[in-house]
Amino acid sequence: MGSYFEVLLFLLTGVIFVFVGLGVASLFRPALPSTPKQSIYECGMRPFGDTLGKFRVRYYVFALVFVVFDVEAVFLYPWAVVFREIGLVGFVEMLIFLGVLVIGLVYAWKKRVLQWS
Amino acid sequence: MSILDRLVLFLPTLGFFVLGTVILVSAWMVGQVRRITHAAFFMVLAFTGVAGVFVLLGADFLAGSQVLVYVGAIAVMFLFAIMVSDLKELSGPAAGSGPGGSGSRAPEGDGEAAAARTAARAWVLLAGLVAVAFAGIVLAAVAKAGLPEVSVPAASGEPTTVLIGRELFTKFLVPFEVASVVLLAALVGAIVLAAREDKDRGLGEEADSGAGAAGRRNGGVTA
Repeated sequence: MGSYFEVLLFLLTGVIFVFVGLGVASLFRPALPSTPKQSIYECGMRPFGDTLGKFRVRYYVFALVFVVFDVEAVFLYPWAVVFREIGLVGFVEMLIFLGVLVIGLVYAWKKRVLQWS
Repeated sequence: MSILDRLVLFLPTLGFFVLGTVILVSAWMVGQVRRITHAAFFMVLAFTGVAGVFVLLGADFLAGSQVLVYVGAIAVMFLFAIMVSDLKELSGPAAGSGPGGSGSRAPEGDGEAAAARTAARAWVLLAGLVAVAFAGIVLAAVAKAGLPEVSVPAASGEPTTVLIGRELFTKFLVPFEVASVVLLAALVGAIVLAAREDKDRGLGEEADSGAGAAGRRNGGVTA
């Protein structure tokens, strides 16, 4: 449990940093809001249309592909840690695991899902 | 034993109850909030609470993967699922009638209202039955499992990642390899879905401009 004290410290420092920074700034900065200042900037175009609109299903594929390879990455951690212990057998095991997933990746490639039309 | 020592010993128990409250309340809120996006974020909060419970149990690798997979990937998947579904259709006519209690989901007509209410009550009854049955199965499984008094990582002193790796690649090799097949199935399912949509688009060619606009907008953001 002791090592989590540092995590707590990081968490507290992060929270304090934000609140002190913004709080002190709000004491000194001028507050003159205007429409262009309050608009969304930095991230692409000005939003238009209804936010409840339907997006293309194609985006869902990206989310699912992300989930699949995220889970794969989680399995890679314990494998890497015990790699010396389990040796060649473990290597082959992971190759099979990755091989099955590569089939999916090749299928996605063949179906042109990864290509932006 | 000083007061401070007692307090430090009490901290995990306190943390467990705080996290448990957070998990239960946010899980309850998932079903209570009207906006489905808010429900998704309450679910993320519940996932985060579970990660905190893993930390309290000394299962740090599990806590990390809980954050990585559930708070990260599964949450993204749910938000994308909300994005690609037609929310106006989902929320129905009740969405236009302004703010109201959770009970106002049934339409407020005369004849239809009664029928809708009986139908809703039947669904609630069915859901309750399923929930009771599921809880019974889970409780029976927990009662049969015979949980150990001390958690395994605390007993051996080795990092949990080593313990999990050793077990996963020897004793639980078959479940591990089966997991890759499950992931492959998810991948292929998603690809089939996308391929079907592309075919539909070919027929309808920008039938709803909203989807096209949304696509362009999001394309601009990710670029």
